Amino acid sequence: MLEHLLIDLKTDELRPLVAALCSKPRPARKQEMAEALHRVWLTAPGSLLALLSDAERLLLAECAHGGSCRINHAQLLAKHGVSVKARSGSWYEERNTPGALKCFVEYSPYGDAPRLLDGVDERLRELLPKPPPLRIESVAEAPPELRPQGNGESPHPPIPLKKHESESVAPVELRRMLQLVAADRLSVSEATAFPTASSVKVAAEVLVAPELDLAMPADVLRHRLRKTENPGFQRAFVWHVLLQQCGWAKAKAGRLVLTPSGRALRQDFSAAGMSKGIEAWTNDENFDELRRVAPIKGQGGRVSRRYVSPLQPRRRAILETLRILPCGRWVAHAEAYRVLLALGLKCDLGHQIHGLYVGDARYGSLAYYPGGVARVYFRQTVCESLATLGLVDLAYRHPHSLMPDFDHDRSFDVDYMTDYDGVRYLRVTPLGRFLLGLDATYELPEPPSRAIFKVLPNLEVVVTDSAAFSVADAAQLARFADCKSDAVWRLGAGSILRALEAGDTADGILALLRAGSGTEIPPTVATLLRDTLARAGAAVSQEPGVLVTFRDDETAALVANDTAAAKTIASHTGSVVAVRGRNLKAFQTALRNLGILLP
Amino acid sequence: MSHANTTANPLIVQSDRAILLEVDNPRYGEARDALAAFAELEKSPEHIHTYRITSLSVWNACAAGHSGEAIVATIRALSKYPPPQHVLTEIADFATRYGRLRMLREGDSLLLICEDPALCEELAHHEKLRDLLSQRLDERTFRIAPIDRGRLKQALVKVGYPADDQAGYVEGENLPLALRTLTRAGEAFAPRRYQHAAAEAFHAGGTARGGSGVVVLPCGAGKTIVGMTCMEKLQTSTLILATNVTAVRQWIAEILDRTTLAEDQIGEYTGHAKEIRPVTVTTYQILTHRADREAGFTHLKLFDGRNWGLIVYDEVHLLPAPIFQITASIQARRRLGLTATLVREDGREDDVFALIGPKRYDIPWKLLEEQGWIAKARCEEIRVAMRGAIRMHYAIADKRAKFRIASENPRKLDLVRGLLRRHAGDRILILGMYLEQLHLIADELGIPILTGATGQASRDKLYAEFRAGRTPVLACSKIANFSVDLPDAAVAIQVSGTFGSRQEEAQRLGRILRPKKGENQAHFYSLVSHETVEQDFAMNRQLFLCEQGYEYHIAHDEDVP
Repeated sequence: MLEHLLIDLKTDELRPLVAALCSKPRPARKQEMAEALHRVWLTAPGSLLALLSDAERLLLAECAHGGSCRINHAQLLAKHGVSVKARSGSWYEERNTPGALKCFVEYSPYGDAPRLLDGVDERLRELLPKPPPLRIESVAEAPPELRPQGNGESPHPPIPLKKHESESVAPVELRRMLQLVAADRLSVSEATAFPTASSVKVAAEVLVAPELDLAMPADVLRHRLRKTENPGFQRAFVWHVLLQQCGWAKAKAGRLVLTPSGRALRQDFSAAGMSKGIEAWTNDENFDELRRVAPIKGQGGRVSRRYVSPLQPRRRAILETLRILPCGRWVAHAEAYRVLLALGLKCDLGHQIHGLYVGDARYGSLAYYPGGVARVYFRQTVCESLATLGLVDLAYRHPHSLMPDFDHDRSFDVDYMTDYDGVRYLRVTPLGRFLLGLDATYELPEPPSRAIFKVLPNLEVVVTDSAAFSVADAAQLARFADCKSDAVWRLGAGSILRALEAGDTADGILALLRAGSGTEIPPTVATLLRDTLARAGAAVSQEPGVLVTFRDDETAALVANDTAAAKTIASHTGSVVAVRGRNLKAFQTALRNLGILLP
Repeated sequence: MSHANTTANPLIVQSDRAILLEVDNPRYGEARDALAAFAELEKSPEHIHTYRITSLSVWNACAAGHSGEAIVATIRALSKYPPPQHVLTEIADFATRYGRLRMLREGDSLLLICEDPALCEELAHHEKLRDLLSQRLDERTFRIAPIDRGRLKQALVKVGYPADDQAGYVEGENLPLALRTLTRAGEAFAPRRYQHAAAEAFHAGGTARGGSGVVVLPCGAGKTIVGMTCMEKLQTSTLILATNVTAVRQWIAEILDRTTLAEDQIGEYTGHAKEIRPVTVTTYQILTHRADREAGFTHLKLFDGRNWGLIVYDEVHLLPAPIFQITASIQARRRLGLTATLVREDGREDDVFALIGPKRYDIPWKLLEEQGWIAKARCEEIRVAMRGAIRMHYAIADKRAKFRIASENPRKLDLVRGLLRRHAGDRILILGMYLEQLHLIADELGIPILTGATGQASRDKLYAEFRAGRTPVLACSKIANFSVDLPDAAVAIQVSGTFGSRQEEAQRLGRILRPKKGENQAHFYSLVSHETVEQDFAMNRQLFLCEQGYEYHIAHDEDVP
């Protein structure tokens, strides 16, 4: 293959190489130069490699040993901190830059990433040492505060670094959200499937962890002209989206309803069930996390969406990155994104994002900042979706006046791009390791026994801790009990039947009552559940049937007593004969033999 | 404003004026005693008891000397969370209504006095009141006819302004009597402390502040003794109204046994005898008897048959409507109501308040149980499978027949046998609704049966045999529901029942609640056909008993050896 590539090079590109590698008399014709250089490669490849810079050799080594064979300058820079050459990334420029590297790289005229030449990777693996492994900087504890750099005369006061620890929170919140869905309490827009404002409020009441504290410190706020707005219930909003992305719920006529996997998870809540949700999230193509970044405009346009890259590779790249990060240690956010690049991954939206802009469609196009947009996507996805799902913890400061994913001189008329612009560190949790497929098992902690109500032997459930009794608890009780007054609910055969019909189980109801009361359930309640369940299960199967009415009782009796027809009949009363659907053909035949046609 | 942590308090006040009391709370006892004054106990299942504040409960409290401010302060002090403001406002409002109208005596006439001229004006123009206010003396005073005293009080309660009746009572015919310290049978006797307290609360030192009202005590707590103690305090001739002849005879026997009254001083006024003596015991039934629907009540004249100083209404929650009418006209006589519950199936609690009087004494049955004055009851529902042809017979029967078929499930007989073996040596009542079933059981087991057809002499003989222990098992029809005093019945086996009535259930259970020797434990079995309408009806009983705080278990026939 090399000889073909050399032939394709220009004479001006070959000549310096021949001058460096071939003794006199040196070939002068292009064909001869190409053949001479090929011979050098076959007989003394080291001399050809010696013409490369250290960075170029490292680049080739990464390609050869990395297995992907793609020339990835960003990876080289991210992993080793060196670059081959300051390049603009233009294919044309790359193609026309002379050097020995040209002998090993195949450029695509269509703008695809350059690749290592076929057939040289094995030889390069022999000749070039394996590159040093990726090193990831991490700390056991995130610093309690940040000390901004000042000009020395008026040092900025330190900014406290807050933490959002998600591992213990996410399962509890997910359970509650599923309860709300089961209770038909969550509504979404039919057009966008995003939650309604009222639904967000309902969900916000059941969340365990507070929203991220994004408020600007008072002393900073004092000097600002621009007012800051409360970002609202972000996590409550995101849970609505995640429930759909993870395949646990779907929008139906403006409401969220549980899917089979959502029902299964609600009935038997486990980390494995959550893990399936993560897989579904990865494959989801309906909700782009970038849509949550309000300052980036133009996302609704069809043209823009058409050119934006698919979601699945972006999300897989992020998950792949998290798999590499050390569990239980804080990693700077920038370091995490460096790891993504160093792994040769990317979560770009593609280069054709002309329709996306910030501020003004004419001047703020993001087409020239694909890297910045990719970092925004990474930040938004990790800090919002994955932190909410319990994969990562966050250490953050307020985001005001930060724009970490774009050049500072790009003065967009926004205070911050995402709520997470102030995130400084993230930490993969043990739950995250399991959800990322790194650990085989993970035991979710039992939800704490909260003793928020008492279950009485007279079938009443009395809320004794109304402060801790959330909307989700109320919604959950409402599935199998009827509210009688402020604090009193009553269990009954009717309400339990309603719950069983909706997919609850008697054991599930008992477990919920136990968890909420913190004590054993009175025998009368257990008996009621058992009795209701037993009676509810009296009908063991169902199948379609047909009722056939005859002119008179005698004809019906004649048919019912016909040997052939009788075998197909389920029952017969007066002039009506009931036939099982599956026997209809045979019944029709038997009737025809009796001279009767089925209408 | 106090910021003390109140979450450890035991009360939760709801907006519907229900108050939930946590039984496991360290301040339970304190809260229970406080609530008893101004709220009615509705339910007392394990863990949480439910009380309700009504206008009547607040007026009862006011009649006992509590103020609205004190009630509100008590609620605030015991509440876990801030009580709904409107509830506190309503309590204060109810309380201010009591006592704004006072009924006083002036010579032979009665005066209704109201300090609020605007209210006076309102009453004077109220269509239900103006005919009862015979003369307006000034802007604050009305003269009323003594005959209208009761009807006016009744009407005032209905319009929301109960009158504080301080008009006093006529002194009845004097009747010297004392309680014995030894019964006729030679057993030591003295009223229990709570019985004394109840009688004293009613008597109120003989002033006009007492002398009428209701004493609420659980079944088996000795309401009869309270009645006799009141009689002793008043030393006056007494008319006692009971629910049936058997109860009449029990009253008579008790009075003879525990007071110094002689037999010729106590009369029975029933279908069997028409004796009017210084103490006369009669039934609601005879008093409300009339020849036909158009005729008058011929025996109501009994109320005027003597100068009664006290009228005792036993089981006042069963008081029939005509007795209310006559009671309205005898408001000058002292009136004592005795009951286990103020809850009436017909909802006429306000008439009891207006005509008999406010609640004077109430004690939680659980307290009496703890103190050993009533037996601990274990209620057990045993489900009996319906097998064989009877199941199909049941399946195709109509709803009414279904209940009977399920009630008469023949497999219950075997279960009764098993329970009799389990409780061999105890005195056992077998209670049923269907006579055929009872006869069948009685015949099979060789036990005597007591039904409505059993003559009074035979009944008395059977009771005596049962009390003496010579007949340890007795089958009884519905007639045993009320006031049959079987002191040593330790076990009741309910083979069939109506199950719809809370009263019936309470009364049946009451048969076995009197204190027992030894463990003081009573057993109340209900045999129910499994997966039938009888089981559905049994749910009512289950809820009622649980709400009364009884231990309730559910077992299956195979669990009984």
